Amino acid sequence: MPARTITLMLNQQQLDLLNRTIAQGAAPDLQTLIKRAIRELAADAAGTNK
Amino acid sequence: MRTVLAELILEPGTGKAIELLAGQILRIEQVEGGQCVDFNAFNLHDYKEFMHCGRTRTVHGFNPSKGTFLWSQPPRERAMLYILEDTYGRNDVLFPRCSAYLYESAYGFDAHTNCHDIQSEAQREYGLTPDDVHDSFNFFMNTEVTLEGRASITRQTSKAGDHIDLLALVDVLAVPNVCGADIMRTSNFGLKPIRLTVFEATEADMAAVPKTPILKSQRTPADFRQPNIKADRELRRDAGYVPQFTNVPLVPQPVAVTLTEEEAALFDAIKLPQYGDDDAQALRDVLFSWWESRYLTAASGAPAIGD
Repeated sequence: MPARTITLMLNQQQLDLLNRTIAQGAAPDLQTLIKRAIRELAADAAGTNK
Repeated sequence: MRTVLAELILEPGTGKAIELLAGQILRIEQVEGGQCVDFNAFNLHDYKEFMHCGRTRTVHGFNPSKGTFLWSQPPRERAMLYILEDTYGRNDVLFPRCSAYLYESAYGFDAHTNCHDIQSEAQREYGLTPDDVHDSFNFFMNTEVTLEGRASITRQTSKAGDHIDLLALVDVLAVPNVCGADIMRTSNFGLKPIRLTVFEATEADMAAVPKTPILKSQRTPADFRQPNIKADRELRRDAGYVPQFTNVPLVPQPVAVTLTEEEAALFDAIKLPQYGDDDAQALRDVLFSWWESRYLTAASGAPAIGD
C-alpha cells in the first residue's frame, strides 16, 4: 500500500471546530489530528482501543 | 414538607390553565388510574416561548420521565420544567394531540371531546387562540415505535395515586387536560378525572434539579432581527429585506494530508464503501466520526466542546 496524499475540503465551521479541538490539546496541528482520527477509529473498529 | 398552594379536580373533557411560578410544583395525579393527560406550557411573560416536544424528545428520548426536562423551542431552548417525580414512568412525546378532525374523519363524529379543543378552550382564559395550542407532552401515555417506523398507542396500567411532579424553573402557564380519547386505547377506552395540586417547592426539591448551561445561543426577542409579533394574518414581503444567514458564504478550503503506507492501509480498512473512490469525502467522514465518538456529549444540552 503506497503512501498517499489526500486533500479534504473543509469549510470555516468545520475548521473552527477542529481548531478548537487542537487548542484543547488533541493534536499539535490539523494533519496530526487527522492521522490520530484514522489510527483511533481503526483501533475502535478492530476492537483494540481501550 | 411542601406547602400546598392550590388543589383542583380536572373532570373528563376539561383542562385548566394554571400560573405556575418558578419554584412551584404542579402534581398531576391519577384519581382512578388509566388516564392520559395532555400538556402545554408557555412562558408566562412571553407566550411565544413554549414547551417543545421536538427538542425534548431529542434530548431525553421518546418517553421522558423522572429526571428529565421540558425544553422550550429554538432559539429559546431553555429548560422550562423539570420532572421531579414520576411514579408511573410512561409518557409520550411522539403523538400529537387528538383533534376534532380525527374524530370526524375516522369515527364520523360531528362533535367529540378532543385534546386540541380542550386545550384551546382552557388557554382562551389567557387570551390565546386555537392556533396557539402546541404539540403536547402526553403524560401517562404508553406508546411504541414499530419496526416499520410507525408510532402506536398501547393500553396503560397507571393506578390511582400515580403522579408526576413538574417543577417550574421559569414562570409558566401550565395547561394540563384530560385527554378526550374515550374510544381509543390511550386511556383504556374511558375518561377519568385527574387531581391537580400546586405546591411550593422545598429547598430539597430545588437542590434536586441538575444544572443546565446558560449559552449565548439561547436567544430572546432582544436578540431577534424581527422582534415584533406579527399582528395580522396576511403574509406580505418586506421590500427592505436583506438576507443575513449565519456564516454565509460557506467556503470549503483544501487541507492536504499525506498518509504513510501504514496510515493509508488503516484508512482503507475503515473508509465507508458509499464514498467509492472519493478518498477526500471518505477521510472527512472518518475525521468527524472520530470527533463525534470522542467529544459529542451534548445530550444534556451542555456544550460538547466550548470556549
